[in-house]
Order: sequence, then structure tokens, then C-alpha cells
Amino acid sequence: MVKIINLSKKYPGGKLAVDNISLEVNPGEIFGFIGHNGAGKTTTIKCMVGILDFQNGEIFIDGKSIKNNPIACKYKIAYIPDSPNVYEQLTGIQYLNFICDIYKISQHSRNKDIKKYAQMFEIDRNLGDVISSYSHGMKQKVILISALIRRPLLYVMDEPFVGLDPRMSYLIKETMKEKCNDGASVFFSTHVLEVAEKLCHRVAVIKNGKIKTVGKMDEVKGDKTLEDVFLELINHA
Amino acid sequence: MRNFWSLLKVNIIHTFKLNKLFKRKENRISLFMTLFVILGYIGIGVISFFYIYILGNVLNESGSPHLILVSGITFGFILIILMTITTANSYLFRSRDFDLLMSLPVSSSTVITSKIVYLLVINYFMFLLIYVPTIVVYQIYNQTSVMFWLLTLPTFLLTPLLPITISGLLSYLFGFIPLKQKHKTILTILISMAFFFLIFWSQYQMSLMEDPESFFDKLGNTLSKINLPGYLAALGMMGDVLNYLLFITISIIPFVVFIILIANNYLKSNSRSRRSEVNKRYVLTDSVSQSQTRALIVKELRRYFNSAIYVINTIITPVLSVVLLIFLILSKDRIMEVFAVLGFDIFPFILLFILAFSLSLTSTTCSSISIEGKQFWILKSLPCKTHQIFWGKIFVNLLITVPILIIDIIIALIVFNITVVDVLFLLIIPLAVLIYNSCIGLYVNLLLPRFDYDNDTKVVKQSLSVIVSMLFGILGVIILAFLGYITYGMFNTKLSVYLIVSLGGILLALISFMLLHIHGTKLYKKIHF
Repeated sequence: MVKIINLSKKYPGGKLAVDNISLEVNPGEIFGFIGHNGAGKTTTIKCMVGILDFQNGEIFIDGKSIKNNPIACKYKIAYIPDSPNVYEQLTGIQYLNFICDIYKISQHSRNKDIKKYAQMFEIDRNLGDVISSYSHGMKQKVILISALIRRPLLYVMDEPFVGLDPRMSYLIKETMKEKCNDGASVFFSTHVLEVAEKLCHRVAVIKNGKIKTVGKMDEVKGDKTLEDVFLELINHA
Repeated sequence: MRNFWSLLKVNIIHTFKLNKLFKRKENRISLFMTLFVILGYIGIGVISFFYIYILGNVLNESGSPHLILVSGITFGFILIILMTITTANSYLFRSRDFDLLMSLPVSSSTVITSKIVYLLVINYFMFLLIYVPTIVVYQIYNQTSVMFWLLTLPTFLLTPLLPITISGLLSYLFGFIPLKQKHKTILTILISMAFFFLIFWSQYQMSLMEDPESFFDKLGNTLSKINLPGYLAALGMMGDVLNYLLFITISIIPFVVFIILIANNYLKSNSRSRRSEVNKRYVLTDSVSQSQTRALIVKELRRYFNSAIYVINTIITPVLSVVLLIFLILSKDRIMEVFAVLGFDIFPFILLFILAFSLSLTSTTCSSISIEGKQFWILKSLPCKTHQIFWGKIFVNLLITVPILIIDIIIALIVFNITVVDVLFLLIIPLAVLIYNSCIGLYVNLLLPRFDYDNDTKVVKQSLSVIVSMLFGILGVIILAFLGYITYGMFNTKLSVYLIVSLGGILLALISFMLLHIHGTKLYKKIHF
């Protein structure tokens, strides 16, 4: 589903945020991307979803290059950023309809899915209010619904569990599993190692822009916990 | 006091992006544009000097050179009110740094003082453009004493206090109006337009007086009514100490009282401004789909009409072209007499200049990328072509300006009996200017985006992109006016001027379009946020 080959990203001013990384995410897989603050997780994610330009390497989404064919790739991706910044002047339903229009989602499908997920996340009564009146969690719910109604092949989530209540976290985890069972893939970055350990099929650890280890969860952690492996890699590698 | 300076310093560094400006080669563009803005600032100062010099000359010949000082101070006074009345509300009571500031162990009075002093600093830069030429021109036509020169700096520092107090107070009182935010935005736009209209109306009324003596008497009278503190300051600088003391009192006391009032109610005022309406009876119903392009345009329009400052800042000058036309209609007979004396049909050119100039001063596009703010990730992650996104932004500018242009032309056609040829070129040339202005505004904003703003005012009114775009807009009209002047000198026919200026306008529009299409697209892809 995702193939990153020798990706490097340098910011203006000379900072090398991502240094020659390669990894793959298979269909139906939940992939965890772990690293310390400033390791290059968000930069990698932004390059993957076509938000950031990059100098070297290639990223393929379902066989198509994000560099050469960004629009076709974006139709297959749903990106959920680390901060729920959405158009605050729109109402929740206006934002969801805007996303549906851009992703050319049929009227029937959108009406069905918006209702389904809005009720599931208990936000259906608030969709008529402007987003500026929403709490942090409600904004996250709107972004999540906007991702789910697209029915993408790949979910890219940057720190999806930050600021969520336990019920919402549970719902997201269950949704991630359900979507993977349907054949979609989930690529997400997190600091919550316990969640990653329980949820992910495969994992990669990034430090200072370089991949320190990548592989199946069992292979990466061996007899230890993911936290032990992570701390070892961060402190000594 | 240390907290006050820290807050002010951080605000100035953040607003003017000083850390980035002097850092590394990556900001060559910013540095270049800053130099461009400084040159533009000096240029506006020179234009202001000539304007005040001409006014001084007229006042001197009419035997009222003493009115130069009070006129200049009053222009500055009005300018400061105009510039702050539209910004004070969002800056003082709806700023996004409110939570951060209120969580600091700093008193509300320190926070509000630092914010108001920041407003003062910005306004000093503007007032300087009028005040220095006024002092120089006054000195040319009047005898000045040591007292006059001693009081120039205090007058400069004190004059902006009262207009800022008035604007701030009006914004504060505005918060009490029990209306929904949407209606408040509309009301803000209407009140601001009415205010601008009133100023033009009063100027027009004064220009109607035919007896020069009564005109200048009336002018002095009116100025003292509009700006009593300025009048007192002028009297003081001319030697009347008592009136100067009164000026100091009128300027300082309301300012201090205003700061105390706002400081005591800062928390409440902000809560009131941030109050959001919730529809408790909302029921989710089926939605209707629309095309990608239409969805992008609707989204742009919603963003635009939700920000009063964005609307006011971009719609005032096009609307003023209609107001100017109405005043021209009211003075039609006198104008036609003047043009009859001139002996050739210059009137359509004047109309053309008014239209082109008023449409070139502002554009919605020059802040349309920055206004995305932290939501810019949404646009970047959408499966849309860059030109679709650009078109959505350009469309908003055309949607608000083209109808105004058409209204202008219809009024001109009905009232001034201009020919069909005039109408055709009055449409083509300003339209070309509009396209040029929309494209160049968007291009400049792609060169100089800023997403880290804490209220719309900072991107819509105070960003480098807006100032640079305005200078490019003016430059475009100056080029066309110069082209017209040269052509008339060479061929001496109206049609030749129309044709050459049209070609020039179309060429400018094409160049700006290509620049946006080729380099702007690359810039869009490279934007880091």
C-alpha cells in the first residue's frame, strides 16, 4: 500500500529532518511509527500525504508516486493531523460536505456515512454548530468522521490519541482494526507505546531522521516490551 | 514594568517576524520585500508632503496659513480612527493569544497596556507620514517660535492617544450588542462603510462652498469640531500654553481611563466576544452534493464573509469608487464646465483612473493563503489541482469587485453620456487591472505567507504581503497612466490612448497570470508550515 524508498527531506535553512529512510506498509496492516520529539515522524507523514515537498527518494501509494501523481494518491489517503485545526467558521456539517464534494463522494454514500459516524461518535446533534464552538475532542471527531466517510485505502494518523477521552480512544482503536479487516491500511505515529504494542502488526522506530529498526512487532520487541526496545534504541543506538 | 516591556517586545518580534527577517539566506525574499516596503513608505511620505504642500499653498493664498497645522493633525487623527476602528475589536477582544496571556502571572492592566501601546506604535508609523510634512510645510508658510519646535515631539506622541481611545471604546461597547456573531459581522461592515461615507460626505459638503472666505472660516470651524484636541494642540504650538495644557489633559485622561476600564473588564469582554451560539434543536438531515470547484469557491466565500476586517479592508476602496461617482454626479454641472474649459474630452480618462486606482489598491488574494492559517494542511492534502485552489481565491476577488465595476459603468453611462467606445474600454482596462491585481496579490502572498497569526488583522492589514501587493497594484496603475500620457502626447487621439492602455493592461494581466501559473504553483508546493 505504501512504499517509501530512500526518502530525505531537508528544510530551508539546512535542517535534515528525514535522512534516507525506506519502509513499506502492506494492505490490511496497522503500522506504528515511533520516535522521540523532533525525530522526523511528522515530516515523514507530511511527505507521505503530499503536504510537503521532498528532495530525494520516492513515495508510492498503491503503486502511484505521490510526487508525480499527487491527486490520484490523495484520493486514496485520509490524513488526520496531530492538531485538529479545521475551518472554524464552517459548521461541522458544512465541513463534512466540503470534504465529500472535494472527494466526489456520492450523495447516498455521504448521507449514510455521515449519519452513521456522527451517531457513533455522538456528535450528530452538534453538526449544525460552527466548529469554533467545539471542544478539542469534538474537532478531532469531525476530522475523524471526515476521514472515515472517504472510505480511503490508507489512513495516515499523526498522534491520533492525543487529547481523547478513553471511550473515544477505544472507538478509534476498534475502527482502525475494522478498517484493516476490510483491507485498508493504517499508518500512525504515537508516543503511547502500550497502544502501539497491542495494536500494530508492524512497527518502525525513527531517531534523528533515520530508521533504527523496522519489522513485525514480535520480531522488533522479542522478549522485551516495546518501551524497553524503544528506550534502548533511543539511548544507545 | 518588566512584564509590560516583555509582552510588547514579544508582540513586536512576533508581528514583524524580526527573528526570521535577519536570519540566514533563506529570507532574502523577505529582506528584499522589506526594503521594497521601506521604499514604498518613503514614497508615500513624499506624496503626502506634496499633497500637504499644495494644501499649504492654497491656505496661504487664502490668508489662512495657520490652518495648515490643524489640518495636518486632523488628517492624522481621522486616519488613525479609520485604521484602528476596524482592527481594535479583533485585536483587543478576540485575539488568539488571550488564553496564553491570561495564564501568565501578569495583571490584566499590563496585558491591555502592552496591546494598546503596540497599537500606538503601529499608528505612530502612519501618523509620521502626515505629521512630518505638516510641520515642514507649516514652517515654510508661518513664523515659528522655539515653543513650536519644543512642542512638536509631545504633540506627535500625544495626538494618537484620543483616536485610539475612541476606536477602542467603540469596539468595547460593540461587544455589548446582543447579536449573533454573523449579524455582528454584517453590522461591523455596515457601520464602517457608513463611517467612511460620512467622511467623504463632509469633505464634499465643504467643497460646495463658493465663497472662499466663508469656506476657510468654515474649514477652521469644522476642523475644531472634528478634532478639538488637534485644534488645541495647534493653538498651543502657536503659543497658547493654556490650550496646550487642555490638549494634554484631553489626550491623556481618557486614554488612562480607557486602559483602566478595559483592564477591569478584560476577562468579561473577551468571554463576551468569544461566546458562540449553539443550536440545541439541530437535526441532521440529508445533504446535497456539488462540484469540487464550486465547493472550493463556497468555502472561500464563507471564510471571506466571516471576517469583518477581511471584508472591510478589501471592499472599502472599490465601494468608494461608487461613492466618488455619486459625488461626481452631484457636482456634474461644475465638472462639465471645467472640462468644457479644458477643451478636450478628458472626463472618461478621469473615470478610468478612478476605477482602475480604486480597484488596484486592495485585493482579497494578497492574504488569501495566509488567512488559511493552521488549517492550510487541509488545502494541501486535498486531491485538487493547484490552479483550482488558485481560481477559488481569485474568484472571490472578482466576485466582489466586478459587480462594483459594472455598477460604476452603468452610473457613468446614464449620468455622463459617455459613448459606447468609452464604456467598452472602461470595462476592459479596469478588468485587466483586476486580473493583474488578483494574480499578483496571490503570487506575493505565496512568496510571503504567514500562518502564525493570532488575529485576522495581522494578515489582512499588517502583513508584508498586503503592503507589497498594494504597492504592486499602485505601480501597475502608474505604469498604465504613464503609458496613456505618452500615447496622448504622440497621437493626440482618445482611441489611441484607449488601445495602448488596454494592451498594456492585458499585458500586465498576462504577465501576472503566467508568473502565478508557472512560479506560483512551485511556490505553493514548497510552502512549509
